[in-house]
Amino acid sequence: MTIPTFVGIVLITFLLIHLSPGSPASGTAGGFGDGGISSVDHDRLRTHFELDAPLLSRFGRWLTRVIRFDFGRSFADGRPVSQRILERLYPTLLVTLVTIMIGLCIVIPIASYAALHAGKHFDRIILGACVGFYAIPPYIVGMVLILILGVRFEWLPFSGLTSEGYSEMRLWQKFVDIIQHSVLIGCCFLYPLVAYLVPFVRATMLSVLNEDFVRAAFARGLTKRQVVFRHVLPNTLGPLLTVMGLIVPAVLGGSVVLEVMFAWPGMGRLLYESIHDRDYPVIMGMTVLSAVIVLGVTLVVDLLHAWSDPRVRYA
Amino acid sequence: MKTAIEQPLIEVTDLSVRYKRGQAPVLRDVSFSMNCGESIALVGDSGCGKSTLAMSLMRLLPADAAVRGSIVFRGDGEFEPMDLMGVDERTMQAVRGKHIAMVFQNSVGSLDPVMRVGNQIAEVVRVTQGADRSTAHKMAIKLIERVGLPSPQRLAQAWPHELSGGMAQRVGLALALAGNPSLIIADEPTSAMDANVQSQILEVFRHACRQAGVALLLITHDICVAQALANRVCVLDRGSLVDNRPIDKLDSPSCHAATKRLVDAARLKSKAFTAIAGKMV
Ligand SMILES: Nc1ncnc2c1ncn2[C@@H]1O[C@H](COP(=O)(O)OP(=O)(O)OP(=O)(O)O)[C@@H](O)[C@H]1O
Ligand SMILES: [Mg+2]
Repeated sequence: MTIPTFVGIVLITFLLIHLSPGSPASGTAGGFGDGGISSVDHDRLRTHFELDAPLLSRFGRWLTRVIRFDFGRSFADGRPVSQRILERLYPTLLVTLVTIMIGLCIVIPIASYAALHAGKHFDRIILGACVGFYAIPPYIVGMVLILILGVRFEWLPFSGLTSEGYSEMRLWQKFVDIIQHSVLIGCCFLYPLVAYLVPFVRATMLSVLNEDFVRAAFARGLTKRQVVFRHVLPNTLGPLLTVMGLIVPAVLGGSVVLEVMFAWPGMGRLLYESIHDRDYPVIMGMTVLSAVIVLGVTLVVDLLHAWSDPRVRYA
Repeated sequence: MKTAIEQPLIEVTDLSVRYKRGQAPVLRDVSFSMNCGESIALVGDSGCGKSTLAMSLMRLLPADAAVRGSIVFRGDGEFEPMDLMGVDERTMQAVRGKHIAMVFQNSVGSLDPVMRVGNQIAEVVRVTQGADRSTAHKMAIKLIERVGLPSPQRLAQAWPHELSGGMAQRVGLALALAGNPSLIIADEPTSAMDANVQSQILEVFRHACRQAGVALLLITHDICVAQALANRVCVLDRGSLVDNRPIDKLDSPSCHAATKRLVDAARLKSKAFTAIAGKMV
């Protein structure tokens, strides 16, 4: 199942990029500044980048290289694509994974409290706040945060991953520096995640609380705390895992705008830059890598789900 | 048997329950008492308030339900008699499972689907008796054996969805016995089973309760089930307790109309079955 999905994604990316108008050669030829390049040079560029070979043979050759994770060299700076992507991989993973971890640590207690006190003030306020926050696009919040905390008060850095002079810092200073740079962009990733997950976890938990086995657990003399931690939360985990599998790709997708905005040297910004440059090898390498990540996440989620719920295991 | 007969185990006086303000009460001035080791069948039509009575004895009704009356519980003499209506939630938690346990109709649904059967029983042993992990596990195995389930070691490792309804109800009884209670309330424990499994389960209930000297409040709408297990019958009719008599006095002319109706229904049912069986031969 995983492999056909993978080939399908690779094919669609390939076609989308190659059938859309414009090419790296024409981009330079039609450009301004030095007045463009001659048509001879244009043809040489096309040959150099193998742009004149038939579509199908280009795809075939490319697919065999993809399997070996060899994406060729970037059109933009001639370095291997895999190298360019790898150095951009960790800032993105850093901010998204840490955000998701922190998000879960925030979501589960809040959602549990709201579910256990459903209909009370706290529950209503939290639900309202979630709807409200979820409706505000992250780039607006990002701009506001940059303007207020970054520019006006200069409390936090808002551009890039590290400060100048990072390489001379001691280890803990480097650590603090990266944390400081991550705060604002992290917040922009975090709040929609929390606003989306809290109502979801709360609703899941409410339905678990209405199950017969919860009432039975109370009848067996368990305290509320014991019932919640030993029976309600474990039963909320399955649906939460499933939805996490859907959210991780969404968070990665959302990284493009935010990373460009915060000059974050991650995959999202690399994708933006390479689309701008029509840097096919990088774009396709990125797409394939995203597909691998998404498929990997799905696989991990399925395994975790099977581990957490015996009914899934034998299905 | 345990302590003196003249001291009832539990004494319910003028219990009234109303789920929502302004609605008609679901229970009206219900009074009855149970002795140690006694088994009483609480019978009545669907919707007459049997489950409500069970839940109010456990004090597990929704928070907005209005409950009046007193439920004096003496237990097995370990503690001073107390009015369950008046005690705080902590005391009540200590009573549930340890002194009054419950068995539910939805046997599979009353088990946590993501926890192994043995661990669920051991959990109750730990909570009610303060046993450590390995003792609790050993006791869980013994309890599984006691309710007549084969290969208890393997069953302890099973997941609830792997059990049949009959097996799950035996596990439900094991869970109720785990706290070593003096009263078990069984709310329609066999209603979802076929007649064969039903009689097996009832036999297991009778045996286990006799052996442990546990009083049994058996809730059912089926007089036949009551006759199989109980020595006294309480009849509930639209929220009022209308009849309370020994099980062998059900055909006496002094019975309430509701009692007669239930007895007739049971007779009709068995007659109808006999008639159908006759036609099929
Ligand atoms: N949570 C609740 N809120 C409001 N009304 C309720 C609630 N639970 C039960 N009732 C009402 O109380 C009445 C008695 O319900 P109960 O479940 O005690 O009946 P029962 O005798 O157990 O019936 P059955 O034989 O079908 O189980 C019913 O009319 C029902 O509609
Ligand atoms: Mg009922």
